[in-house]
Amino acid sequence: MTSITVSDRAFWTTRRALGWVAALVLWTLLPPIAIGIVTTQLRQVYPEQNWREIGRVVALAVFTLGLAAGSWKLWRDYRRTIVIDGDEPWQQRANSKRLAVSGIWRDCMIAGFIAGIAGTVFATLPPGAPRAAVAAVTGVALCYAMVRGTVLYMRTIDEQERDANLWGGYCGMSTYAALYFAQHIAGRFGVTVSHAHDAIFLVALTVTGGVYLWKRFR
Amino acid sequence: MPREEEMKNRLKVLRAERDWSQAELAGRLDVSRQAVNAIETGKYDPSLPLAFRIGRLFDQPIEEIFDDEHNGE
Repeated sequence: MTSITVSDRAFWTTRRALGWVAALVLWTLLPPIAIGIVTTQLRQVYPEQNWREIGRVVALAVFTLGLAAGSWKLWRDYRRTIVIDGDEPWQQRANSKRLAVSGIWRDCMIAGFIAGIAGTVFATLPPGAPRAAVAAVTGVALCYAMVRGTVLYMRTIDEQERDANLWGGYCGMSTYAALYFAQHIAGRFGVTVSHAHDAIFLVALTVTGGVYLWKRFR
Repeated sequence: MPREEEMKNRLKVLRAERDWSQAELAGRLDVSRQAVNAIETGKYDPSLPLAFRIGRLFDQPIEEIFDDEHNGE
């Protein structure tokens, strides 16, 4: 049987509490202050540099590398997935689960394809009533598809993938909050970046995907 | 200084004894192959319901399969 002594429990409780405090400070205060100070200094020392363009290139490179690494890892992993056929109940269950998971991914791709076509149609419409109607229908369909898709996905996946999703979502949201705060602080320092929110969204999305892949497939 | 609980398990050994692949074990446990791999390598600790399913599948109590390295302390 497992036995944890009182001193061990007190030690770990204290350490966890300190860890949470440290994480809170690190994630909410230090990054925005550090980014604000560094960007201000860089702009003062090298005012002739186009930092916006440099930041854009670095962000694109990191995103592309992450995407390539993630795709390679996914491809390697799914190459090892085999089809389990047979008459035993567990074999039929396993095969139907595999079909359900691949069906979820297929439906995601179809939904993305339809959304792409709707977006293209929307972009070609002139301002007015038809444009507003298409926007309203697309918005409602998008909300429905996202909610319905999320419910189906969460019902289909197993607990380890759910855990990876929770970690990815938590880290992505924390990154988004920290960077958003950093942007706000940087603004106080007089540093403003155009399309900053797009960049923050991209970074948060990259972190979400990266953490998910790490927890799921490492 | 005490170390935080690290869960170890004999899942890989038990699977090898039955000559099952990770995919086959995953099918029998109704989880993905990635989940089996993560549990075997200690990167993911299964939930209590899954741990019970593993115990029932191998006809062994949970503590015979999983060990948190604090036994006897």
